[in-house]
This record gives sequence, structure tokens and C-alpha cells, in this order.
Amino acid sequence: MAGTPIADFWAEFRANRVAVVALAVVLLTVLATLAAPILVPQDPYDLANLTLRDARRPPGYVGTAGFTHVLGTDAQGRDLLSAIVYGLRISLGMGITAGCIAFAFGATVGAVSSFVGGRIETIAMRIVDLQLSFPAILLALVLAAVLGQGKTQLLIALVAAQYAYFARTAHGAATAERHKDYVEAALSTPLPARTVILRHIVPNCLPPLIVVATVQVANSIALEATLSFLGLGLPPTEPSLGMLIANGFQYLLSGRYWISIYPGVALIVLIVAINLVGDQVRDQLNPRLRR
Amino acid sequence: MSAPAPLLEVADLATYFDSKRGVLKAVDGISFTLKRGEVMGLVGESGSGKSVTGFSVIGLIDPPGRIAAGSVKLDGEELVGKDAEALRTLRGRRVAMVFQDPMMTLNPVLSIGTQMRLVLRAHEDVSRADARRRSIEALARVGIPDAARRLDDFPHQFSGGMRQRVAIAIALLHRPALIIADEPTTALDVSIQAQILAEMRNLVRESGTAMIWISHDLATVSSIADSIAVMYAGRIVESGPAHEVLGAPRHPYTKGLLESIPGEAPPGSVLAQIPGAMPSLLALPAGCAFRARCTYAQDACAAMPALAASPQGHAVRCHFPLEGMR
Amino acid sequence: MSEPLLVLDGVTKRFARPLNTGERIASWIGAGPGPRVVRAVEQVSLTIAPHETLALVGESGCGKSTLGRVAAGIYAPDQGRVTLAGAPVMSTGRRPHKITTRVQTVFQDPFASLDPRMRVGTTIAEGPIAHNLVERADSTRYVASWLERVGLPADVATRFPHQFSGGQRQRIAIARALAMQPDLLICDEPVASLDVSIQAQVLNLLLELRRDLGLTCLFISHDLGVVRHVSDRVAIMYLGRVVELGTTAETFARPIHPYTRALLDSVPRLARDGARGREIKPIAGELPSPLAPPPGCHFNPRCVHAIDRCRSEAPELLPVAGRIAACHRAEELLATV
Repeated sequence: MAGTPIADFWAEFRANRVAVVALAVVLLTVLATLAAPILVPQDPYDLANLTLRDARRPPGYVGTAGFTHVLGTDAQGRDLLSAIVYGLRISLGMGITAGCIAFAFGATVGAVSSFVGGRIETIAMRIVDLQLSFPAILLALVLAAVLGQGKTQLLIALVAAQYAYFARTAHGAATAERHKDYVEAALSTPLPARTVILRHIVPNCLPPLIVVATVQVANSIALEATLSFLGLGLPPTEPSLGMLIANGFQYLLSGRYWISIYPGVALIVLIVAINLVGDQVRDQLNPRLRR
Repeated sequence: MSAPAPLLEVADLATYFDSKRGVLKAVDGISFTLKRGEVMGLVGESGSGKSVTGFSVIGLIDPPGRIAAGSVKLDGEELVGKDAEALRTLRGRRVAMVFQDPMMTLNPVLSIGTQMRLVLRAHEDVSRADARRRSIEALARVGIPDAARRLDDFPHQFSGGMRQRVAIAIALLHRPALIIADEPTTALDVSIQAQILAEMRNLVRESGTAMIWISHDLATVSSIADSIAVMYAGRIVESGPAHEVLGAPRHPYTKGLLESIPGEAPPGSVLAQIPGAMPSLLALPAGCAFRARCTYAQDACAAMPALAASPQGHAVRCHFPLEGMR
Repeated sequence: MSEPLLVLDGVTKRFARPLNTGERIASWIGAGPGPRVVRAVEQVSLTIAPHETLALVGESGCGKSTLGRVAAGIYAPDQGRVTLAGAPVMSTGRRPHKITTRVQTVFQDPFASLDPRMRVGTTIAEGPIAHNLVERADSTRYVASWLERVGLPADVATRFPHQFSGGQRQRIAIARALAMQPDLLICDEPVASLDVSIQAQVLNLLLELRRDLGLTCLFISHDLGVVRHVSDRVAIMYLGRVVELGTTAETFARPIHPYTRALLDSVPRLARDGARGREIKPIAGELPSPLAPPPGCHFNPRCVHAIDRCRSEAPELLPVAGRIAACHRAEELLATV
């Protein structure tokens, strides 16, 4: 069992086939969205490419531009496959960006308040608790409605709705870690408090935060899709998955199922895959679930 | 030749744990007998198998552990292979266990009195008043002052030492024939350890209860045990009457343990030390497990030595046993 | 006697147990208890001479570990001063922190005292690098030399703590402390969590290093056998106070304070003849709660020699026959040894 913790971790992760498949799905999605411009037949955001003659065509339709719309087209005549890949790009991009900012902000709030203590800790953690007592979607909805449309506004809404989970987790972990002997040993060397926090406490708080992060990236994606579905997300010229679903929703009963269903399937597959990876990571990092 | 039948006869007992990395042979073929009223000290370091031996005797081995071989006879009755229900009855009544952490036996949400009543009623038909009276007696016997009043207290209202006394009182309720005590004083302070040690010694002496006292501390064992068995890597390497094993150790490991205790050597001198550490139980070398750390080891030690006993009952598992080291 | 290296002067350390919500409500309406304060260490003054080993002995709750942490610069004392060669160990101010590197600590549990996510070499090197005891470029060689010093191969540096046994980890912890080139090494129960055969290895290592490096040691232990083996002088503590202080040999041979005597009598000693003749003579009674220590001499409820004065007036530490003891009847008792 010699090796770095990361090597050991991967060896254990590999043993769960489902998690490996889920991880492959997530990685392939990320790759596909990164390579989107060369992979898909059409730039769905370039309005010059769109013609209403191609609108709402079923899968397999050969359009005016001369290529086959494998998954059909939407109400504006966009190639749905292209729109989904670009939509995934937005969803993943927003989800990961929001997750990372919420991680950094929340973890800092939690760890610093644990270390500083006193009134600052009390106030910061009560705000976090208050926020955790509301559903995240409620706060995100209100913020998105107040701030208006746009990527930055959406990011703010997502981060504000989610940092609290990181702050709570980081606070708990940091409070548990800072009373351990190795922290006392580092402080009594003496090493500066900043070094002790960054080099000892933070790395040891990471496992629970990573678990929260995987779950929260999936939640961010779902939250963004929800906001977009309700028309509070990104502008309609750059449809994310939520908006694609919303746009197709009105045609669902008229038999043009593909406009809603395919983006929906893509969204579900991505979220489930991320959650499966997260579950395995949690099982491996949570010592209480270990034999 | 009609020696009285021993209370406990353990023969070739082996307890294995199946793990991802292979079979862990925690206890690998140990045999001993215990007479009525005898106190046996089972000594060893962590990983020697001493605690697993105690648990195996009373059938408290849960998967992934299993008793792979051997027999445990209490009053001639075979215990290995008995069903869980039969073993549970036996554990409450004829065999009791005292753990290092008394909270292993105490329920934090029930008062001591309730717990003692439940234990009594599990095996006997006693009235509430009788149960109360006997509980008070039992608590008083283990040195708990003001026992009648403390009966209504909850475990957290007792100090560590008092809690261990309560656990001992509960163990003694049914006047068991055998008590297995697993490091019962290790977590306690010196002065409290001394109290409990003295009381346990008197209790078993008065009631004629046999006891297996499992400990890593030779000094504690020496003050309570009639006989001693020293375990190393899942096997008994030396056993016999306490004064023989401690006074004239014949196994190099026993000798090394005794000499490495500070307080015996002159202050500041270099302590005799056993080099190295115990091998992994997953990958025990063939032959004598102590070989790699032993200064007397020779080629012959690559074969497992048998446990050979002298007429006085002093047994040693060594090809080159030491002679009368004092 | 030479100038002392470490001076603890009138050190008091209290811990307040915060009230829980129920108690806070109760105290608002005037019914509850006040804030609960534990005086973990009460007015303790000690000195350690260069190259000397002083042992702190006592049972749980006696304050020996707290006092060790005050000396180590981990806790700031509420009252009193701690100086090393005349210089303070900790800064003063609102957030006191340790300012000397000349005191280092070896902790009891080597499974907790090493950062599980840091390579052994990094753990050992970070302090010396931070305090310019070694250049970063030289640190590998520096770490290897200390590892060798504690009997471990140099390639240990690239591995993680979980790959080592308890004894090996304690060696690593000792190397970490010594790599800071301290004058004073505080050993807080360094062998208590180790197996018997490993204990001897680590004790021998500590004795050897102490001699070769000319270290001064504060050795905290509950194990009287270990203390007798390693220390020059010994301070016996009971409920936050030092009750007796003297050379180890004399204190063990002729204890003055009734608690010291009782403690020595409580230790089970190896009866190799199997006679079990030396009956243990346990001290009656329990350790009182440090939240509400008995008035007067803290030991009076358990003491067979207690008189009325012991129940009202706390005895001072006074010289008795070349040692010091805190007992009203020290002179009388000394005559009975």
C-alpha cells in the first residue's frame, strides 16, 4: 500500500465501475464542450446561420445548409445537437465557475471565522445558518429577479445561493482540525498562523469540501437550468440547456418532443454522472463509512 | 490420577479475520486451561492477539472475523459452534466480561439501577425489591460509597473509576464462574487503578471466580495473576505459574519484555531493548515469529518450535529456551 | 548552581467552561451557576537548570500537561511569567504567540501530532526553513541527518505518516523537534501510547540524544517507573499545585508529602518472585473535580494525616530537608519515614 495518498485514492476509486463510467461521462462532456466549435456542424449563436425554414424539424432532417440535423431543430431553426453541446458548455462553465467561486469564498469565510473566533465567528456563522434555512432556489430566484439578466448577475445569484454550504462545512472541519495535536505542534514550532492555516489546516479540511464541491457543481447546473427555464437566466440569444427546454416546452404536446426532451436528457445525464462521482468520492473520504 | 476437571479448556483455538489484503491470523492455535478460581494473566503487546483470544472464548467474534479452528470447553461443554442465543445466555450468567472502556457495557440513557435490574431479570426471576437489594449489595461490594442513593444515577454522573466499578458490579451480579477482564485498569489513573486492582483481587478470591486478566502491563499482571501466558503474534510463546514466568523467563521475548521495563534498571542506564517491531499478522514469516528480533536466533528457528512444558507446567515455545534467568 | 535555563514564575492558567444555553437562561433569571472556571494550574513556580531533566508527575487533572503547554509557549499563562534564558517564551498583548524557537515539544500521541497530509521530510524541514536554520536547498540533507540521528533511514522523508508504526512516528516527531535545535525539549508523555518493547527503544533514544546534544528536558509523565529512570528532579502535582519537589532519588526513597507517598505505594511493581507479597496500598477516595477543589490543602479529603488546619488553610511550598513540600505536617511526617 505504499504510494502517495492520491495514488491510493485512485486505486480505490477505480474499483467502483459505475463511478469510473460516470467520471468518463463527465470528462467526455467537458472535452466535448471545450472542442464544441470543431465538433458540431453549426454555431447556434450566430443568428446569420439560422433560417425559420428549418425551424422545428424532426431528427434526421437534412437542412438548407446541407447537413443532417441528427437531433432535429428548435423553434428558431437551430441545429439541436449543436445547441445542446453549446448549452452544456454554458451550463458546465457556469456550474464550475460558480462552484469554484462559492468554494473559495465559502471556505475562506468558514476557515477564517473558525480561526478568528469571537463575535466575527458568531455573526458570520449565524448569517450562514439563516441562509441555510431557506431553499437555495428561493434566494437565487430573488437575486436573479433583482439583478436582471446576464452572466455576471447569474454568477452572483448562484454563488450567493451556494457559498453557505461551503462555509458551514469549512467551519466545522477547521474547528475540528485546529485543536488537533499537529496544529498545536506547528504553532509551537512556532510557524506563523497564516502558514499553519494554509499548509496544515486547509489541506486537512479539503476532503469534506471536495465532497460538497462535487455536489454543489451539480446543484449549480440544476439551479442555472431552473433559472433559465423560468426566464431569469441568460439572454435568449445564447440559450443554455434550461432555456432550450423551456423553449421546446410549448411544442411538447404537439408531438415535437425533441426540442425539450434531448436537452433534458443531456442535463439529467450530466447531473447524475457528477453526483455518482461525488458519491464515490464521499464514500472514500468519509472515514465513518469505511470498514 | 483424578485431577479436578478444569473450568475452561481452550485447545488449538484459531481466530482469523478476512480482509481485502488477505487473511489476518489474529489468534493462531492457542491452548490453555484454567482451574476454578484461578487468575490467569494474558500478556502481550498490541497485535499479539490477547484481546481477540478473550473475545473468542465467549464467542464475541463478528464477521469479518471467524473462529477458524479449535475448541473452547467451559465445564466440559463445547462453546465453539453454539448458536448466538445460547452464547448470549452463557455470557450473562456463567461468563462475564469487563472492558477497558466501561461504556462498552453501560447504557448511557438508563440509570444504573435499571440496568442492573435488567441484567438480573435476563436470567433470573427476581422481584423489583429483590433486584434493588442485590444491586445495592453488588455496588457496595465493589467499593461504591452510598450505593443505595447512587442506584438512581446515570453512567455520566460517575467518574471513570466509579464507572469501571459499576461495570465490574454488573459483571459479578450472577456470580459467574469466569470473568474475562480486558485491560480493565489501563484507562485509569494510578491511584484508582490500585484501588480496583486490590478490590478485584479480593472479589475473585472471596467468590472463587476464575478470571482471565488481559493486559500489556506486566507489573499489574504480576500483582494479581496466579499463572501467566505471554502472547506474541497470535501464539502463546510462554506460559506457566506467575513466579516461574516472571522469575525465570525461558523465552527470549518474555525476558526482553521484563528487562525493558524502566524502574527495574538503574536510573539513566541504557534499557535493554528488543530491536525492531512485531511483524504484520498478514505476512508472518515461517517458523518462530520472534526470530527477526531475537538475539539467540539460529537456523533452526526457521521451523516453528512446539510449546514444550516442564513438569512444573512452565511451557515455552522456543528451540533454545533460556535456563533459569534470574 | 548555574543560572536556570527555564523559569516559571507564579504561573496560573484557568480554563472557563462556557455555559450551555440552558445554564445561560438559568443565570439570567438568577438561578444558574456562574461561569465555571477550572484552575488547571495554580501559582506554580519552577526552574530548570541547563542540562537538567525535571519531571512533572501526577494523575489526570493535576495540570501537568497544561503546565507543559504553558512552558512550551502553546498556552499563555493568565498570571505569572515564563522565561527561557531570561527572554520571554511568548509575546504579550491581546493575542499572545510564541516568540522563541529554543523550546520544542514532543507530544504524547504520534498518530495525532504529525500532519497526515504532509510528507515526513516536509514536516521536519518546514520549521528550520521558516526560521533560517537551514537553506531550502540544503534542507534534504539536513532532514536526512536528523532522521539518521533518530535511527531512521533517509528515504523516510518522502513518505507519509500513515506508513509508519507508532514507534517510528514518535522518532519522526522527535526529529522534528530536534531539527529546530532547541535548548529545552518538552516531552509530554512521549512513550505513554507505545508498546512496552517500543517504549524502551524510544526512552533509550531520548536519553542518548539528551546526552549527546546537551539538552535540558521537561519530562511529563504519569508513569513513575519512567520518571525514575530519566529525571534528575521531580515535581509532584495534585489538582493544579506542586505538592513536592526534589531530586528524583531522594523523593522516591523518602517521599515527604502524603500524596507522594500514596502515589508511590499505588504503583504495582513487578513481583518477579510471584509472591505478590507487596500488597498494593491504594489511596482512599477519588480525585476531586477540578471545578470544585476542596478548600485548604486539596489533598485533605483523601489524606490519612489530615488535621483541621489542612481543611482550612492551603499549605505553602516550603523547604524541608533539602527538598520542598507543601504540607502542614511535613516536618512531623519526615521523621516517620
